[in-house]
Amino acid sequence: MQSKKSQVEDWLPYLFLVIFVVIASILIFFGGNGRAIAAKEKSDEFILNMDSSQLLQNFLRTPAIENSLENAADQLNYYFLDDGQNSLNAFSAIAKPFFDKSQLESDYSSWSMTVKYPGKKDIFIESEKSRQSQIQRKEISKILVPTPIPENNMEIILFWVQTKFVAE
Amino acid sequence: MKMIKNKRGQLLIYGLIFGLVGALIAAYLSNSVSEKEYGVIGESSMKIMSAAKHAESVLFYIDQSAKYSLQQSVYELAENGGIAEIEDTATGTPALHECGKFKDSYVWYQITKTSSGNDVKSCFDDNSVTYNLPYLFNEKLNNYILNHPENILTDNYEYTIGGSLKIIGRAFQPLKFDIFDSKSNKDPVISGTEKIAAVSVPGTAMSCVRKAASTSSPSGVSGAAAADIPDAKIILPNTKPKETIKIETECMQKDLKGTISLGKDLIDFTQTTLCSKGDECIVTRDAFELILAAQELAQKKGRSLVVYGAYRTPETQQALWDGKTPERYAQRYPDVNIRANYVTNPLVCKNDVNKCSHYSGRAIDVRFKKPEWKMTNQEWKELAKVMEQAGWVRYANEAWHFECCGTDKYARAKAKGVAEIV
Repeated sequence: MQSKKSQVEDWLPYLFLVIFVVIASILIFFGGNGRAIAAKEKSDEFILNMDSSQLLQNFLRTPAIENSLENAADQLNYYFLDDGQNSLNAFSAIAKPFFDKSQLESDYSSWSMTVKYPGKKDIFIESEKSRQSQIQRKEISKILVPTPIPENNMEIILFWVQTKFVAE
Repeated sequence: MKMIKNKRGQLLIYGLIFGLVGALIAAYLSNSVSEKEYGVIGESSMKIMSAAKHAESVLFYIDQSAKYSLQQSVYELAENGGIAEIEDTATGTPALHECGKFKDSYVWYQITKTSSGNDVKSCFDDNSVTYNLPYLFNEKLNNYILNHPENILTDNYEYTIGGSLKIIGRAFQPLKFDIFDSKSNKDPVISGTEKIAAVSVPGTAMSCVRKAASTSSPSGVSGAAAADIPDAKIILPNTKPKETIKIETECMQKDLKGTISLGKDLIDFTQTTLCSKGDECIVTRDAFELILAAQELAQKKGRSLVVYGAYRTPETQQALWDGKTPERYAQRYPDVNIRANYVTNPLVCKNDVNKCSHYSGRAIDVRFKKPEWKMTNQEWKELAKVMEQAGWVRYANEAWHFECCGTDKYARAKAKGVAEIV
């Protein structure tokens, strides 16, 4: 009969092996899980960028008046040409219902938009929900739009806005 | 259960443990240290889709630019009495309005006193809008295209005017986007060989294929869908008459950084710092090496070269002659003898290919890179000296036109021991 100490010594290598396998399994599980989460986040972000890019283009092509050749981008250009508040109001009137019905608007998210025109003040347009309960915002799409002056391109940036939970 | 009691057995089990630990560490290190081509599964697909989306936004830019260009062109054309003069930079000969101007307005009817009475000449054609409008429109659209950060080809559309002032543009060449490297205007330097990928989307083409003018498909201004042709062809009549070089995506390799080898002997260095923005630059390999040599010499003098004309297909020349380009030479000058003053008749090239040296890919139009287009006489002289030192021969009638590597002008100049020739 062996002493208890020697019995433990006999089992020691197996004990190490078991501990090692358990630790390795935990590491592999969490490592893999972390990578999967990162990949999913990246793919979600990509899908959001892709969709918002298409959304922004669709919006800019939206006719300002039904069956008209003038679109939302033209309305914005009119504003920058003569600083006419009516053109800006017309642009906002197209933007708000368009994006409020989009997938950017949810219980916990909304949208906002910045328009940059060289030599002029930036325009900032946002949804009512973004204005009232914004937590953070993230740029999701950017597009270059020509103006009647070829040297001046304006830039429109669309943001995804995280808001406090507001049930639709 | 039988225990491992002897020392050799214990050594084995400890060895196994350390071996496992070592293997795991090695696997982890090799996995994290080695560079992966793609970070996550599906990343390559994401990049392709991103490029497609980017192409769509460029098409939106072109569509919108076309709208403003048309409005401005109609306004200017009306202001100028329906006349638009061509500035033919290719020949250096401005094609002016035949009756000129009176008090800054173009003359529609000219009455000249002669010994026998009055000589009346009509200088206005009601149909001239069909060629003046597309010309002005193209100029305006080029301005927009050059102001876009992407390198989009200028003069790339064949226009058709529809009812109610509708212009449809059919692209000669597809738009190209590098899917895996969005940086444009790269420095062309020699590097290792690396394959590039290619896809095409409706309305644009992100590929390394090339289309001749005759195989053009609608895209861009009209916004219509266009399918790319993966086995597009380039014909090189000067090197081997009527031989067709089939260019396939697999054969196209980036063996000069920022440049694309088009198989056989052609190098495409469009979208590099050596090629003017909006222009397409293709030359033969030997000519390209001389361009690099000339650039090196220019840089030593604090200058930089920019090529704005190189290989031209016979189809492009034919399109110019047939009035299918914005200049509309055929419509402006129905008389072929007058037209020949402004554009080379492709028949002349067919009979004597040396008359059209751009066909060979060994003739270039080049200038110094500077903010303004105009160059001083001193600068032209400096350019000629740099090009001569690099091994080029100048065409005496055009300060910007140089040839090399066995063209007819090059051979004659070398035989005479001169650096410029007519």
